[in-house]
Amino acid sequence: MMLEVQDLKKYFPVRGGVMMRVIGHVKAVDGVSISIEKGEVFGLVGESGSGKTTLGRTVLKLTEPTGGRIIFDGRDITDLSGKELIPLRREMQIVFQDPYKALHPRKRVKDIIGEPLIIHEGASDTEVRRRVAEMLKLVGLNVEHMDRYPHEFSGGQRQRIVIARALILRPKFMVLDEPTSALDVSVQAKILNLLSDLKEQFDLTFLLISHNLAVVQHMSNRIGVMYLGKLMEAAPSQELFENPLHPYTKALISAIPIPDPKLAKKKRKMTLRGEIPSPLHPPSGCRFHTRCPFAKEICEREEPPLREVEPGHWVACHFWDELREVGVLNA
Amino acid sequence: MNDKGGENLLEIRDLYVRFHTLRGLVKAIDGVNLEVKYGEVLGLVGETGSGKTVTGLSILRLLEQNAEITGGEIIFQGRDLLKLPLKEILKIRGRDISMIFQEPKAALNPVMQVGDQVAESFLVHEEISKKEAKERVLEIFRRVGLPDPERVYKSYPHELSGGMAQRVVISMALALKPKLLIADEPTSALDVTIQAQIMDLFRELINEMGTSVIYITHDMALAAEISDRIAVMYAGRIVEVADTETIFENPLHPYTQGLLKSIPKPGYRGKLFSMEGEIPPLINPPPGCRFHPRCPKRFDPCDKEVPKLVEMEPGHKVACFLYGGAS
Ligand SMILES: Nc1ncnc2c1ncn2[C@@H]1O[C@H](COP(=O)(O)OP(=O)(O)OP(=O)(O)O)[C@@H](O)[C@H]1O
Ligand SMILES: Nc1ncnc2c1ncn2[C@@H]1O[C@H](COP(=O)(O)OP(=O)(O)OP(=O)(O)O)[C@@H](O)[C@H]1O
Ligand code: SF4
Ligand code: SF4
Ligand SMILES: [Mg+2]
Ligand SMILES: [Mg+2]
Repeated sequence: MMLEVQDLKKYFPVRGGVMMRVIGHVKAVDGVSISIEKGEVFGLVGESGSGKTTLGRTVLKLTEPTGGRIIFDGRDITDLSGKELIPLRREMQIVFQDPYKALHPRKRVKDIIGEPLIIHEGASDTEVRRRVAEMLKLVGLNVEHMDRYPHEFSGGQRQRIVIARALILRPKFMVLDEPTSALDVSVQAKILNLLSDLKEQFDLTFLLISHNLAVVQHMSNRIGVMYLGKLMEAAPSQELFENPLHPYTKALISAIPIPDPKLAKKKRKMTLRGEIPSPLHPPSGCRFHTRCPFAKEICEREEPPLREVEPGHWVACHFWDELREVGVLNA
Repeated sequence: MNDKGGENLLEIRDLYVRFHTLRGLVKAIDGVNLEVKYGEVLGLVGETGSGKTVTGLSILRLLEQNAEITGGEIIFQGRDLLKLPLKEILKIRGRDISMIFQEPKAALNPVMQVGDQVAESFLVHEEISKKEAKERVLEIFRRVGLPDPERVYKSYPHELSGGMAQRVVISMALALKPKLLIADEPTSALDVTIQAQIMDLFRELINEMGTSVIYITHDMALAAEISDRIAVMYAGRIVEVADTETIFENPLHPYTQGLLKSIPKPGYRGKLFSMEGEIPPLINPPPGCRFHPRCPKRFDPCDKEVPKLVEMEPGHKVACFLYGGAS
C-alpha cells in the first residue's frame, strides 16, 4: 500500500463579527478513508468545494489534519512535523492546476526545476545543470530552455516545467491537482500522455484530482466521488461508470456532455435540482439529501455509512440496493 | 426551428480584425465567413485564442479600443452592422441581439439590485411603467427557475451563487426576446451539475422563443449537445462548418480530425492522439494555411496560399487544399 488514509478530517475555522472570533468551521474534509496501492492511479472527482484539494494537501502534510491518520508507505506520518517532514518531501510531490501561478516569474527554468536538488542534496551547479537537462528531455522540452524565464513558454510548456520540478527528486507518489484544467484539449492530450509515460518509467503512484470526469476516467484505476467533504462512492474506474450505485455519482456522470451527438441523444439524463449547499452549513443526515431525487425521510436524519457492498465497491446511501433493483441508476 | 428556417438571420462576410499592441499587430480574425440561420444554434468552437470571442464581440461592435476592423461586412436583417451609426447599434443591443459571457458577475453591476438591472432593459427599450417592468422581471425570474423571485429581485450580485447569477444574466439577455443571442462560454465557470441545469434551461428557452444562438465554447462535447451546426475556428479562420453529426462523424479538415481525436473518450484508456506543435502566435502567423506547421497532410501549396472555404457536400464546408480550396 502506498497511502492509507483513515477517517481523515480537516476543518477550517471561520471567523466573523467585530472581534473576528471563530464562529464556525468549514468541514472541508470530514471523515474520509481511502487507500491507494503502489503503482495505482486513484482519481478523485467532485464539484467545487467538495474538499478534493484539501484532501490532497492534507495527505501530503502541507496542512495539518484535524483528525484521522495518514499512513504513507507503511509509516504513520500523521504527527510528523518540521524537520521530520523533510525526507518525506522527497518522496511525495504535488502538481497544481495553474501553471501560470506555480512558477516564479523572475527565476530561470534551471533554477525552478533545480531548486529542490539544492535544498535536499546540496547539489553543485554542474550537477544541477546535468540533472535539469535530463529532466527537460524527459518532459519533452529542449535543453536550451534551461536559461529562459516562464513567460516565454506556453501553458502546456509551463505545465511540463512544473512536472519536471516535481519529478527531479524522483518521488514515489504524486498528487496531481487538476493538472490539465487550465489547458486546451490538444495540449491536455500531450500532458496526459506524458504523465502516463512518466508513471510507467518511474513506477509512480498518483492521486489525480479533477472535476473533469473524462480525464479521470481515462487515467484512473479506481475513482472516489466526493460531495461536501465526504466520500459518496468509490469503485474501480469501469465499474463506477457502468454501474454507479450512488445517485450523486449518477448525476455527475449524466451531467458531463458526451463528445458524440448520437450517443448524447440516447443518454439517460438525471439533472439535479437546487444548488450546492454551503459547506459552512452542510445538510443533516445524508449531505446530498437536499438535491437527491430519491431522498426519503430517514435521509434527512441519519447519515448513511460508507459500506463495501461488493468487493472494492463502496457506497454511502441508505437505499443503494433498492435503487439498483429498480434500475434507476443504469446508464 | 420557426417558419423562416433555412434563411440567414446573420451573415459575416470576409471579416478581418486586428489589434494594435506594443508587440505589434495581432491578426486575430483573418477572413471569417459565417452564417447564422433563423432559429438555429450554431456552435462556434476552437481552442484558446482562435478568435471566437472577438468574432462575437465584432457583431455587437463591442471590441476594445485597440481593435481595428480592416475589412468585411456583418449583415443582420439586411443591414451591415459595421456601417451603422453607433446610435443604431445601441438600439439593436439587448433588443435584437444580446450577448452573455463566462463570468456572470462581471456582467452585473455590483452595487445595484439585480432585479432593477433586468427591469432596466425593459425600461430602456419599451414604454412601460416601473411597476409593470418589475412584474415582467418577476415573471421571467420564475421562468428561468430562480427560487424565491421576490428575494432574488432585491439581491446584490455577490449574494448569488454562480449558477443563480447566470440565470439572472440569462433573464436579462432574453428579456426582450432578441432574435440572436451570442453566448460566450456561459457555463464554463460553473460546476457540471449546475452547467447541466443551465443547459436544460437554455434549450427550453431557445426552443420556446425561436431565438437563433451563436454558442461559443472550447468544449466539443458541450457543442455536440446544444448545436444544430458547428463551425470550427483555428488561428483566426473558420476551417470547417457542418451540421453537428457530420462534424463528429465525417470531419474533413485535418485540424478538426486531430481535435476530435485528442478528447479522452469513455472506455478508451490507451494513448491519446496528440497533434504536433502548438497554436501559433497571431503576430507572426504562419503564411498560407495557418495550420500547416502542425498538419500531418501538408503538401505543396499549403505554406504559400490561403485555402478558401469550399462546400463539399450541401452544408459541409472546409478550408483545405486536400479538398480543392484554391481560389
Ligand atoms: N485555507 C482555507 N481556509 C478556509 N476554508 C478553506 C480553506 N481551504 C479550503 N477551504 C474551504 O474548504 C472547502 C473545500 O475546498 P477545496 O479547495 O478543498 O475544494 P475542491 O474540491 O478542491 O474545489 P475546487 O474544485 O473548486 O478546486 C471549501 O468550502 C473551501 O472554501
Ligand atoms: N484587446 C486585445 N488586444 C490584443 N490582442 C487581443 C485583444 N483581444 C483579443 N486579442 C487576441 O486576439 C486573438 C483571439 O482572441 P479571442 O479572445 O477571440 O480568442 P478565443 O477563441 O475567444 O479564446 P478563448 O477560448 O481563450 O476565450 C488572441 O490571440 C488574443 O490574444
Ligand atoms: S441516502 Fe438518501 S438522500 Fe442520500 S443519496 Fe441515498 S437516497 Fe439520496
Ligand atoms: S491546407 Fe494543407 S496544411 Fe492546411 S489543413 Fe489542408 S492539407 Fe493541412
Ligand atoms: Mg481544488
Ligand atoms: Mg473567448
